[in-house]
Amino acid sequence: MKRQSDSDSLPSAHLADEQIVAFLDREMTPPDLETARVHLDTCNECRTRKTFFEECSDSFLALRKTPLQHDGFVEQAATSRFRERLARHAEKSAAIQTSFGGTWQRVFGDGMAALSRHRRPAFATFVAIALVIATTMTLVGSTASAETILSRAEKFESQHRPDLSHLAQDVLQVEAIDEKTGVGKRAGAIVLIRDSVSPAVYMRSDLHAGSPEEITVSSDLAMGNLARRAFGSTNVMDSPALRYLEAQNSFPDTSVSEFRKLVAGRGNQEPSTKRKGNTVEVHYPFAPSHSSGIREAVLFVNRSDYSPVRLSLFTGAPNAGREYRFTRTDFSVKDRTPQLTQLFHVNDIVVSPASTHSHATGGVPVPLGYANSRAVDVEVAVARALHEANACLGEEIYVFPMSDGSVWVQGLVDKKERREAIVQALSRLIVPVRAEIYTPGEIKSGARLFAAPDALVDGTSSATDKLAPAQVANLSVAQMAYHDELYSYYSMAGKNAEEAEKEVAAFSNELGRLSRWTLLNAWSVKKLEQEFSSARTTELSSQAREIIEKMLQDHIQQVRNSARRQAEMLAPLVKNQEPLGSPGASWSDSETLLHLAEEQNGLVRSLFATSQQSPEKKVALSRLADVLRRLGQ
Amino acid sequence: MQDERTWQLPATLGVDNAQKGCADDTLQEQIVELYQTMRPALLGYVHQFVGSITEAEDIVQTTFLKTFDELKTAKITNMRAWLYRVAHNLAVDQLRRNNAQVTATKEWLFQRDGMRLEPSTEENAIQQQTISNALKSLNDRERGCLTLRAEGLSYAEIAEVLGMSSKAVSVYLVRGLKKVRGDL
Repeated sequence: MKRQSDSDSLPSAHLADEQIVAFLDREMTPPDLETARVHLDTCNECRTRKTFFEECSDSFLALRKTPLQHDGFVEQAATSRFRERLARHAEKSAAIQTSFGGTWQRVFGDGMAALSRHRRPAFATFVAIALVIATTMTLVGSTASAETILSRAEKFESQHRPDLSHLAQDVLQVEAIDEKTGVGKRAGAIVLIRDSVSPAVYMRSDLHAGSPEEITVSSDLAMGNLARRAFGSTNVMDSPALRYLEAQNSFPDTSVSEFRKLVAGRGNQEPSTKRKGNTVEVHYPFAPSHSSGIREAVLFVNRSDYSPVRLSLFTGAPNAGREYRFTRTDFSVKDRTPQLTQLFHVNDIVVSPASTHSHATGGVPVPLGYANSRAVDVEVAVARALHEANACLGEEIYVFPMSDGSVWVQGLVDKKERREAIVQALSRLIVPVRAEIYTPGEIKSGARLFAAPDALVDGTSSATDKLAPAQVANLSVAQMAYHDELYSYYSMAGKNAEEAEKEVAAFSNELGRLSRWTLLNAWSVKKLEQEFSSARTTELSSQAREIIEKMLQDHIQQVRNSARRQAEMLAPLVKNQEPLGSPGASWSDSETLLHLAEEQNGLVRSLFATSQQSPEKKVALSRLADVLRRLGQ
Repeated sequence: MQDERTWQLPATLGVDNAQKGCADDTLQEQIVELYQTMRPALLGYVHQFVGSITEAEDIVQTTFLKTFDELKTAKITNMRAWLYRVAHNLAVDQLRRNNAQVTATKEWLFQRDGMRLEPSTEENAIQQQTISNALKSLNDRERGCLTLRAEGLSYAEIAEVLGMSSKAVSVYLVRGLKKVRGDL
């Protein structure tokens, strides 16, 4: 039978695939919809195809189930950042409109509105005009606008930003040049290393007499601080210029972001560009008699790839003033080794506006114990990221509230790949978080770990200590307590000797895996309750509390599921046994939960793993069944 | 195709209202309000293309900046379709720059698996591979149509976002659905 493909007329013939999908999506006119419904009621073939497309649709929806979880406080932070970006954008576009001129703007705006009604001719006209302009510009040798050059330079920087396992190092040569005589004096060099995981910046400067000055600031909110420390006690830079840098919170390196901050307070002077050889110069003149004494700031950008190469600040009168020249002599990307990571231990505290703690004393921020700190929403976001990366299950990864209000993640993992996965999970957070995660080899080579935050409370050991240590047994005389029963069970099921042994081994492995999984999740419940105790969570938002509850419920559900699965596996062995006394009550607190989980793990190891222990089998099995029942409730 | 998953735009902005002549501050507030409403859906949509939450966030914000510019001088008759079209175009541009499609799929699969607490099994690995194959088998237009449909857009809106006719949307949907099912 011919299938109809035109949705405008629906005959009694079979529906086309497109019509069936449109029917499912209610993308038909009401009469067509009704006709299709009537047809589907009476046509088995079309109904079958409708079911097929419904299943297709379900499959796709299941596939694309979004991995992004949305929560209120992260969205609030995003909205706040967007609001700021929009305000800057509006301000900038208002300035551009003002400089463009009201009349021309109206003429141009109305013209564009008219053109937009005739897209194709307008597009052709636009392309033709653009070609003429481009040709003319090439002929006269002029360059793109200052903003365009800066945008291209920013793009270069973003393309060359190191990934999370590397760091970017800049070396700047600082010179002071007398414009009148042209004589320059090399003042020294500055090394800047920017952290790829956190916003921290390390600086080493040899502008001072004596030993080099080293400083690390926690974020780009403190770049003015950095400038003061680099130039403050030297006579390299005039005081008004330095005060201006501090006020603008800008450091005179060659990055576009710092350059933008530098020129933001210059006054309403139009920027310009010049092309000289292989560089494009972006000139930002300052207002006459600017309080900083700066006459002009010029960023030099490589013409071929738009990499920024030099910054010059001109002070004083033209041809009689001074040029401060900051030339980027080296740029390199380095591995983020533990030694380099140590550089980002902040030694210049800048309490951000978001900080709610007042522990900063002007020294190095220190990790706070749970007893000495209140949880903040960021801490919950970090905990959830770790939860989603399964880094909350037995690994020594801790979230540290720090004395300056920041949040650090520190810990130990067995492999670099695992570290990458965790760092990747943390990098998806919108808030910047410092992460120091080491492998055992790195710990041996000198990396330092804080004591766990719960241990910082009162000096007691952390919950990880409660996990049973791995026992090394002499397997030459070892055997599994329930080996024979399991072997008989599988033999009776028709397995030959070899197959039955394999089944016994598989049973043991699976039960061991489940008991370990139960224990890890119970431990995580305990750890979460310690981390987010009622005393610490008083200042948390309701969304953050919901996230904590969700994580707890995740772990509890895992405990229940794995305990029930174990009970199912043990059912054939337990069914003929007498119950051991009256059944125990279900658990009501995380301490009991952890205790029961430890007990089931120990019992499984003693009964179903090869060991030298020889427990009272039947009693132990009854006890295990009871413990699993309580955990599974 | 409107269903309960379809959110409503804020009444203050409206879908069919021109914002021409609106005061700048008021318009900024309206854009922020719109951003708050639409961010989750657009972020999810863009993320499926670019595979990076940071890039997706940036693209979504840029989308609203462009909307702000547009609303100052022009009329947007269907705000939702406009937002998806701008975001889609920005995401495609980004994708071309990064050549990140493979990465996006891998990361998406990684995250999808990462949401599960149970350890990976051979069965999971096989399923991941089949899902990956199914997604790879879709071309850009099929994937775009299916994704936007799942976001709750009507055929007319999908057509506007992807620059094709409603009839073509219908055809791509059928082809895409068959491929998804066929490969699973």
